[in-house]
Amino acid sequence: MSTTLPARRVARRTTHSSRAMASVVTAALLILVLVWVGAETVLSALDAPALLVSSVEMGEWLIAVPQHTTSAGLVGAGVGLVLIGLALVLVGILPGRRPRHVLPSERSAMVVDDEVIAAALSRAARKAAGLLPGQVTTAVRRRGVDVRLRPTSGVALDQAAVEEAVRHELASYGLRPEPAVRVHVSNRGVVGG
Amino acid sequence: MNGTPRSLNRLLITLLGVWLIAAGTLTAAAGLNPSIAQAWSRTGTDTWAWVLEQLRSAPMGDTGISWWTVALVGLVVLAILLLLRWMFSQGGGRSDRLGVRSTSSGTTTVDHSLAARAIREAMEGDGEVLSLRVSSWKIKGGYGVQMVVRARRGASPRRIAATAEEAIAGLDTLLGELIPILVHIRAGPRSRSTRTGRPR
Repeated sequence: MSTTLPARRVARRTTHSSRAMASVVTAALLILVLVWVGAETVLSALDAPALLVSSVEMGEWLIAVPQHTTSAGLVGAGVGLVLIGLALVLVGILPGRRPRHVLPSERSAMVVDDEVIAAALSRAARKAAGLLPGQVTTAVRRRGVDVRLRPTSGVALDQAAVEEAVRHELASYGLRPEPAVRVHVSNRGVVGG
Repeated sequence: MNGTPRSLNRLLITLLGVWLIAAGTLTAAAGLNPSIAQAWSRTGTDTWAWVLEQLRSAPMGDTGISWWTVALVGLVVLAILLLLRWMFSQGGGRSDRLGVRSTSSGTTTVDHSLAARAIREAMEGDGEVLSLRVSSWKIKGGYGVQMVVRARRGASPRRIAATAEEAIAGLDTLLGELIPILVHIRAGPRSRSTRTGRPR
């Protein structure tokens, strides 16, 4: 792992979402609502015609919501608001991990996309099995790596050797925690692969 | 590596979420329980009467406008300005310099292009690297460098990391000081696949 504190902080910031997108959307919506409320307030203070509803009408409407809405409508609106709120709370609390891993480094913050790891492991598996690019698919998750092979029809495939090659390649990255490797061999071969 | 205020983002989003959950719970409760609906209207009517009374108690001369209305509009404008500030604080912090040191004899500025050129030259020979983007950022406690390395499809990230470390060691010698560096190894534009981490 990175030894310096800024490096560790920078690596963490790269592997986790900053929630910038959610923040911009939230702020924009709140600004829209506030601009409207502010405009209506100024207009009603000046006795000018309202844009949609004057702030006096807004207040009176809010008081009378339970009277002019059916109870089913109230429950539905309430549940809707709770769900939106829940989604926001989850966005605020969940870590928001990105599909990236941290490589150990003495000096700097070294972050690699899972896509790159997957491609490298695919290549290692392909070399060990003597297959073509389209015959190996690798999926990298935080704690696991799945390598899927579609062997060439009629050609035996040494699964243990492939597993060993992929493990060896992965071990050289020094990921912590190291993802567990699983190699799946499809029982339908590729003709003339 | 940018200066996005992450904790603030999460705090404000969570607060808004909690507020919506509270408002939604109250609305749903009013639908299920008539006494809560009555309490809503009663409290609302009382509050509204109180508000109108306050508005009348602080007239602004004979304009018919209340000082409270002016204060409310001011508050709304302030809130909008704070929200705009929050919005525009996302993603900033890019810098065109890497460090400034002042001594009695003058000020020395280390330009970003110095680091960019040193790293670029050191990484140039690596055939596994498709492209390299170097940028400098103002971060907590100083400056930092971000290197985004686009790897050739199937390239070993360990090998690319080793090349990057060598380039960084060269930069360290050049600057005589260890500045924070982020190396981000990404897939090349052509090897991008539809599903994350799953090339075909």
